[in-house]
Amino acid sequence: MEKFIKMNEICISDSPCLIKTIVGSCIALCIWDGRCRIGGMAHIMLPESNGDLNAPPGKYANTAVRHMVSTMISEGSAVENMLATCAGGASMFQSRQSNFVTVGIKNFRAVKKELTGFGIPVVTEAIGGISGRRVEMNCASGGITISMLLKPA
Amino acid sequence: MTVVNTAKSNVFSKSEHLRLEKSLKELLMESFNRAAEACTRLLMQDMIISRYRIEMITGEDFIDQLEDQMEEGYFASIIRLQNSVNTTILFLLTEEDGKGLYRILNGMKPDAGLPPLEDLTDSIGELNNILGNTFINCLANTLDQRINGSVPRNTLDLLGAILESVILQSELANKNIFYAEALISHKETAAFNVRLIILSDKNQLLKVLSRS
Repeated sequence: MEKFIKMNEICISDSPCLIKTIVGSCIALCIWDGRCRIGGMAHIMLPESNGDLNAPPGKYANTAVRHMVSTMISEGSAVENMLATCAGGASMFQSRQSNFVTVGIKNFRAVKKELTGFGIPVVTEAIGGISGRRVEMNCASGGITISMLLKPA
Repeated sequence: MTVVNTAKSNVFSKSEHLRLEKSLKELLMESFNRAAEACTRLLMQDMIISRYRIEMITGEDFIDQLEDQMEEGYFASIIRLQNSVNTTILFLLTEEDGKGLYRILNGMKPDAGLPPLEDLTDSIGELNNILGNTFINCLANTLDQRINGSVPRNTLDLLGAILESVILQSELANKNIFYAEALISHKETAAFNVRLIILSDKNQLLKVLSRS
């Protein structure tokens, strides 16, 4: 089974499936618990919810991480077994020499801060650059594939 | 504490709101027609608006509408209006159409080899520069205001990645936006589908329009 997640969506599964998304400036956050074989992916758009209670939890870094962690725990996972992978945060329409901190980088920093708060290590980062990324997570094995339409310059 | 802006200039009655929206749609259609004319002159082929849509939606809904094309490769170029309403002009072409247009613009045969991708994207950006500035000039003349556009920023990437980056970098993610799109195609063969998309902060745009 395949599940393509759109912006602001979260998908968590304890059965074999392939979760896919495409990110540019947004962040695809994958969390995997190899012991319980539960995994999930969020497509996060912005860093902070700032009290936006009507938004889906996947929209903001702070709410997405909390939602993923609590859902995975409710399905039998433990925080100490979780490993995270982050991809995205590209600045596709900006100069590649720019030192400006883009919204994509801000998103990643916010995700990492939340993960650090839970003690979840980020084992793989594919962040920044000027190209979008296709991210696929195999929930049977925890394997994650990150690819680009074009090779990075 | 909640702060409510009650300035009269920020509030439109329902009828005034409808009138402004109607004016805006007319203005955009006029601008799209000018862009199609510019496309015809540039390519020396008869290009027409084969489809258009104008809607008020959120940034997220805008992306959802194009969900089935997210994994396709597109040439994209954006121009942002400066010192004016938060507006982005997005120009999209499929990878295949982009290569075809490059050949036409450079007088090459259909099967001729192509230059490096960077040159291709710059060429596509130049087309956006012309179409985008046609749009900007039309807007500036109608509103009787000076409006400048940024230098085009160009890329070739997956449509999903392009669209979300445009919404985020334009800071339109959490706003109601005025979304207008015209598909400019060859009159007879329907080839070369040029997608010209205007994304604008709806409230800002209506305020500017109400002052003109």
